[in-house]
Amino acid sequence: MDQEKKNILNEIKKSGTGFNTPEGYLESLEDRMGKTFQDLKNSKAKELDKAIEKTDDFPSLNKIDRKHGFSVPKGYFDQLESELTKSKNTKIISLNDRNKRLFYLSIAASILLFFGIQYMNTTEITSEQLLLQDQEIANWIEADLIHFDANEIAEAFSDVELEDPFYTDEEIFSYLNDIDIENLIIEN
Amino acid sequence: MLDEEVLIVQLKDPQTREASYRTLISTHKERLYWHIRKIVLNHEDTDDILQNTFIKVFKHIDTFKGDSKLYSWMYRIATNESLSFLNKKAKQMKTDLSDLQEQRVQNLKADVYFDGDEIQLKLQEAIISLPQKQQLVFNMRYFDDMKYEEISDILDTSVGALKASYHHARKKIELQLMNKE
Repeated sequence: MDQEKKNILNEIKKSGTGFNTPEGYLESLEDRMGKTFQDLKNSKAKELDKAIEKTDDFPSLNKIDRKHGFSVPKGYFDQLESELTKSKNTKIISLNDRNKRLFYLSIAASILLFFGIQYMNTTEITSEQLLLQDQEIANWIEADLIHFDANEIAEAFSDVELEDPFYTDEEIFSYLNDIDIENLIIEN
Repeated sequence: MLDEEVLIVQLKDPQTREASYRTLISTHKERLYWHIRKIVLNHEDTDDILQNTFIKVFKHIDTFKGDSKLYSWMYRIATNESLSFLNKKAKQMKTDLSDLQEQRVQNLKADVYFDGDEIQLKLQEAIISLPQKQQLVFNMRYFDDMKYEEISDILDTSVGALKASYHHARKKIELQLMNKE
């Protein structure tokens, strides 16, 4: 009986599974899948386009006039052009920003100097006190209590020549040019 | 508009550099200004960054390879300058970028160069809550009507990814505006 069963199974195995495919089905699968992917991609792209074009979904945003509300000082663009061509390598420092701050800083420095002189006239300052003051200033800088702006530092040391900069302009620029904005955002 | 290729040749030639530099500034100053302004929000910082951008363009025009359009190259420099500026500011103030931008948008209420009404201020608040890249895409598409192909050149991102970015940005902004209504 068992021998009989075995023979039948062998016979079935020889004749295959009985399943079949339409002619050339597997051979053409790659081509058809390629087309399907393309169709899918197109329909997804269309779907996305439709979603983007569909404005009904954005009632609040649609209510707003597409204006950002920013403005510029009168005559700014005309002035910018002539100033920039006058000095191509030097920045125009905005009067209503940097100079105003420097102006206030110089007033504060004058007041301090005035009282400082008064103090020096009445008491004798020791070298130890001077040293402590230096240390204090260093601590302030370290703790970021004094804000130094790169332009202010550059102005203060305008007579100092940097003989061997670490990077050439070209290297810096090529870095700026090639840097991936996305990475810059992620890194920071 | 002057043909871009001619302008590039003139910019690289010391004889014609001066005049063509002026043309370059007058052609692009406003578009670049508004691009930077929408990233950093206030006029003074925009002015600084715009000047830096033009100085860098002038100094390094010789390194411009012409792989992309000149204005895309300039936009890219302006974008890098603006983002570097914000990152530097955040580090200086020992805060993160989103807090810094939140603070900057709040300053708009007292900014004499911001004429926007309450809803435009809310829109700016919603924009700065987006991830940086979505902010850029939204501003360039929504306010400037830039083509995706142009934005793709500048941000070096595929058109498909930009479309998705813009769509997400718009959805998030809509949601924020609805919640604030």
